[in-house]
Amino acid sequence: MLFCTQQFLFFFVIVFSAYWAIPWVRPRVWLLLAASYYFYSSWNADLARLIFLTTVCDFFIARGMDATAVPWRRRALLLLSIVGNLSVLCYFKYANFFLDSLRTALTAAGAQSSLPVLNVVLPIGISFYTFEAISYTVDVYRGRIRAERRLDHFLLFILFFPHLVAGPIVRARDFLPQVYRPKCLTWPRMAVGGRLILLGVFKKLAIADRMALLADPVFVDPGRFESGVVWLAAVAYAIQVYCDFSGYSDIALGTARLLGYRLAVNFNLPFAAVNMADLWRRWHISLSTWIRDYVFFPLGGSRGSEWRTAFNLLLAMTLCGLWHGAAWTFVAWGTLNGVFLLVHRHFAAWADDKAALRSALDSGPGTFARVALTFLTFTLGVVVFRSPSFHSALTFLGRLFAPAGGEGSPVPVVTFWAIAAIVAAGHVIGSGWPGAALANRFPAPVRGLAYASVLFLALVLAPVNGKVFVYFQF
Amino acid sequence: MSARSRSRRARAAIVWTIGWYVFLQIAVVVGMEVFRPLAFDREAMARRELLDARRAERPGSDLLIVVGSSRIGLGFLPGQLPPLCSPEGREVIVFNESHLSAGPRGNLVRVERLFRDGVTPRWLVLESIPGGMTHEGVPASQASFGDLPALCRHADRLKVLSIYGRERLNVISKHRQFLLGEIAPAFVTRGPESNVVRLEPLGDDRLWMRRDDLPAEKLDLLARMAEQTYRPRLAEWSVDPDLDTALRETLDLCREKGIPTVVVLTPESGRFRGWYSGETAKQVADYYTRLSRETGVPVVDARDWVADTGFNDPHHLNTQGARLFTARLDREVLRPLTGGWVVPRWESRASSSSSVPSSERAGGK
Repeated sequence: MLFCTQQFLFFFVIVFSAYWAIPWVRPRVWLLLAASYYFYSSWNADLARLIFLTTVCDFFIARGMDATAVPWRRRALLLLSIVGNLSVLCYFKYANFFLDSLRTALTAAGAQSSLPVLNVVLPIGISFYTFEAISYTVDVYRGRIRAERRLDHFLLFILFFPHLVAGPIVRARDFLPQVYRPKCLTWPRMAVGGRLILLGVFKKLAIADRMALLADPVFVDPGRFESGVVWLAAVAYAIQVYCDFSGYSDIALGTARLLGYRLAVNFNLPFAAVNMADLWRRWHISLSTWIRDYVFFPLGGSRGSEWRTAFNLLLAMTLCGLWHGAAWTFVAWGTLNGVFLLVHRHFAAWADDKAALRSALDSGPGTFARVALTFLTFTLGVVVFRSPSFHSALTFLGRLFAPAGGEGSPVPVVTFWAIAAIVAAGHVIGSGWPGAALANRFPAPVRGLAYASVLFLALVLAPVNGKVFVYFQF
Repeated sequence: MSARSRSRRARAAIVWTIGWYVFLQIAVVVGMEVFRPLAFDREAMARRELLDARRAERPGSDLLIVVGSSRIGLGFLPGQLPPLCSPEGREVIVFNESHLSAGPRGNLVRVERLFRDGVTPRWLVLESIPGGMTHEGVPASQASFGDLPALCRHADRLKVLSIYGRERLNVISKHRQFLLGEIAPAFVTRGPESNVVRLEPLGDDRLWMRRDDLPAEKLDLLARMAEQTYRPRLAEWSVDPDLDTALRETLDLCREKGIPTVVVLTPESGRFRGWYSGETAKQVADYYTRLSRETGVPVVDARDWVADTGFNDPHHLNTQGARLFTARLDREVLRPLTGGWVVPRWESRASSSSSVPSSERAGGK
């Protein structure tokens, strides 16, 4: 069941109506649990049972941790939870990747290998809820939160359908207190939720899916297209992946808000970032903060030597890449971003005491140049992220930097520029353009017309062949 | 801003958003109904554009239209016909005005649309399928407002209106390709190949509905589907009164306009014809004999014109079969019809004892 479908609309209208018709807190929780279970079961009932089971295990492990003060018992229970969760993740997501890599290595070494290929179905969103479960047990272990005493509340924390399949990655300390909090349906809540959903639908249908029409054919065979088109495709994919994922996040936040829950903001105008560190503070915020809190900091963060910090950063970003998918291109993308972050770190340290340089960089043109350079760096990174293989990525990058002829754009180029202009305008407005505040003061009929027009445009511009959300595969 | 004021503003924004969206929906529906009613029916619109183009290319020529279902769409190839002239020596444009799943109701809607839009053919060939006289879905999903009276006359009014209304609820998303084509053609996207209406210049199918090179399992599936649909209907055959009146109304309309018309029962494979029970074969013969006698319209039984090798599935012709059918239809129906000669009329194995003469002047006029 996809967010931008009639099926989901009917599902949500029923859940929303029933939810607010029920005056009691616990039955509301049960309703949301049932709806979430149904939501996931509509993909695969067996995998829904698997998530349910692992979640119940985590609940009791955390209760066990909470009930004992003996350090080794707590540590053992934490290990049990982490190993259990990571085992499920590795089996479903990475087993074939590791086996395939091993097979390739053995073959390269001249050895015969008869390693099997596992016939497993990747549970949608497994990386998201695995990280949520791990963060919960780690936080209980660290004593930052108490273990949840109500199983239904804990199940809802993991299974809540708005964030279940593609995040944002929710923290227990943010979500669980909201389950207890009394809620009522208000007009402002409906307005905010509706606006987020509208924005998400527009990003997904009118921007991401449109950009895919240009990016997809070029990434399939970059050698066929002329260099200019390959550049457009790279930028188109950067915009696609942003609007696809942030669109999903907006819809998730909006639907959650309509049900009385607040989820963490996952994107904050990433293409307005002035450097790569800034970009990672704005891009997939729930993942980057998770990696920071549960990987980078435990490794020692930036408290050790420069070498140690560099190692921590590279390892954290490599794991971040691996989280995205079971392929060496994802690993390379993560490492590449680690390198980008290191380069930025050293440049920032070097430029710190150069007042003239800092002043130039902070000026209007300097800021614009930094934003453009950051976007370009990110775009080159996502070429590796999107390419099915290193060979394909190298062909793509080769076309970018060695001008070559070939086929023209698979879609009229004017459509690319029109959509890119919308994204740029969105970033300008969101970055503090004074007109945005003014827009809020417009009379309701004008704002209503603007929102209705956004919905109209989203529906009209949606390509005939819609695509599933990119981040579902993670 | 106070909580009460915030609430009021939020409510107003929501109400206005919904209101504007409903208004935009209604505006799109009304705009399409008034200016491009055919846009609700992509297939019909594609054919109409071709027909308009052919007529514009050859002004002053006469028009012969063949109306029917996918059997006609696949089986009748006007482009293969040798040039056809009217008795006055004017060129005749022969156009395939078929439509997927059309039965008597669908055919009536198509003929009414032609007349409503000022397209009056000089001759008309109308397909009738015996198995399609017992049942036809209500083709209201592609109907425009102007089609409703005809559909309501020959189908459950409530069902027609509910389908028509339901289709309008999501008109923006459903007809977005048309809307984009009108306001921003660069943004029009192609759907899957099966979704693209591809027609030859004279309206016949161009590898859109069916291909000749389908794999055996697909052909087998199509054959099973045809059998599931038609075998029960042909085992115990009874004409749906609504469909009978729709067919007769189409013939009456043509008579009122002075258009000589011929009804053709399109080819069926030996396997398909084997699904007619003995009783059904007799009933079918009696029905069409009576229809021909009462309306004065010749009925041509072409069900056994093509050998089994000419079929894709039990009732859709392949290209070779379509060529044979087209040539024989030209020889036995189109030339006599346009030449004002005698069209051989209903003559069936099951009605050999019929008292109806075996031929009558085209259109019975």
